[in-house]
Amino acid sequence: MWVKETLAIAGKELRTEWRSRVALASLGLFVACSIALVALSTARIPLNGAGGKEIGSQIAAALIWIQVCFASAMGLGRAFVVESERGTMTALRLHARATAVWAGKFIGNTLLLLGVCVITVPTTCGVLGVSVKHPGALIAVVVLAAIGMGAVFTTTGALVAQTSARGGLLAALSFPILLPAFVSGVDGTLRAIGWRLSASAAFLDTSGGILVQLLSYAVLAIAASLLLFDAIWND
Amino acid sequence: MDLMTVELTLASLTKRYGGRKILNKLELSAAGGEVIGVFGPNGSGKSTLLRCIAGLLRPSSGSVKLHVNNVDSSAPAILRSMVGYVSPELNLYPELSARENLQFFADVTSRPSKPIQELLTQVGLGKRLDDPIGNYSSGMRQRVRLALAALHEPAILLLDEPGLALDEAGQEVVLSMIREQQQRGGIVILATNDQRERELVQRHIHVG
Repeated sequence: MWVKETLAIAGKELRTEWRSRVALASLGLFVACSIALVALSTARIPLNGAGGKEIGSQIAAALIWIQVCFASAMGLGRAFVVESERGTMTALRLHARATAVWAGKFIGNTLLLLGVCVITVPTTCGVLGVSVKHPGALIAVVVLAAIGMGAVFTTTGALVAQTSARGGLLAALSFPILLPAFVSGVDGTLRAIGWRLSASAAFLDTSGGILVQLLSYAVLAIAASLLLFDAIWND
Repeated sequence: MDLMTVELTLASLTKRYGGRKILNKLELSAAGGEVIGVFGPNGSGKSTLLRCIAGLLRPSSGSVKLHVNNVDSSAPAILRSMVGYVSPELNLYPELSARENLQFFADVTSRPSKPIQELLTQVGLGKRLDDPIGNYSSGMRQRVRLALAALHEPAILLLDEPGLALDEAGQEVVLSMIREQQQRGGIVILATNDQRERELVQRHIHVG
């Protein structure tokens, strides 16, 4: 029953977003602009040769997660704000149970975030001329970090929706909590690209700990959110 | 839901916003089949009272107790599941059609729901049920709110200005909804200024 309710909410999130394209439009514009800015700002940096490639890898890893973090703050924080502004929150509160609402919104947010990553990660790597040595590891890093970030933004978005200072408060609340995922995401991306790894080194042997950190972060973020959300939703 | 007994009790219900007391020690005891009117001037707290009964607002003091079929249903989450609520502040998803909206609210709860097409035909939307609600007039949106309130056959029907924006046929829908709820043995709590709706009220409480 809970799964059916959760999937109904996730389905509604994706359907209403597809028809209104509010978050998709703002995220798409942000991603396009940020990639264009990355290309323009790095055009004069010599990224060829051994030293250049190392710098390119570092820039790529940092820029990918900066873009993902800001895109998340723009798009994901709105999941509950939209319900509150439109007056649909009351109907949802009357009919759905709190944890199903959180889980449905979390699934919708995480899929949206993964969509951003699917565009941002390969394009940024391509613009900076970075080749990825461990693509499977990069996918794992991106998916785990997106799940953790999706959970945090869903919960902080719900808190912020009940206040008037929404934009600033979302960033102030979310970014300190997101720091571990951000740092592990950058670190994991660097390792997946192959930065300072010998060609023969296996990703899991040298950097498996990063995946464990990201997985633990995602599990903790989901568990804490499910525990807290009932109080946020009912007050 | 089959209703054998429904009992609603408000005990010393008080709601404050900042220093202002909106509801002051309200007392009410209502049983199934009753239509209770909530009267008072604009801004007197009629909607606040309905939101407290619906479990959407926490009272500053006092309590809302609901017993359905002799089971205590007073916890806010259970209380919310037992009410059908119509209010101008309750909106539905404008990108979805009336049918999709009602199907969504039927899917997000484990309670049994009435057949959606039949319900929308009853409120007079049989021909436009697949149009997005964003394209509806305010009267048609009010009819969807009425259909949503009746979706899960609630124990209490809370109607805040239910005739708002409705034409003659729409107001007839409201009156028949109230009568049907009475016959089922449910409670109706009605905040209205409409004279025809007021005629169905058996007792009233005054706020403000």
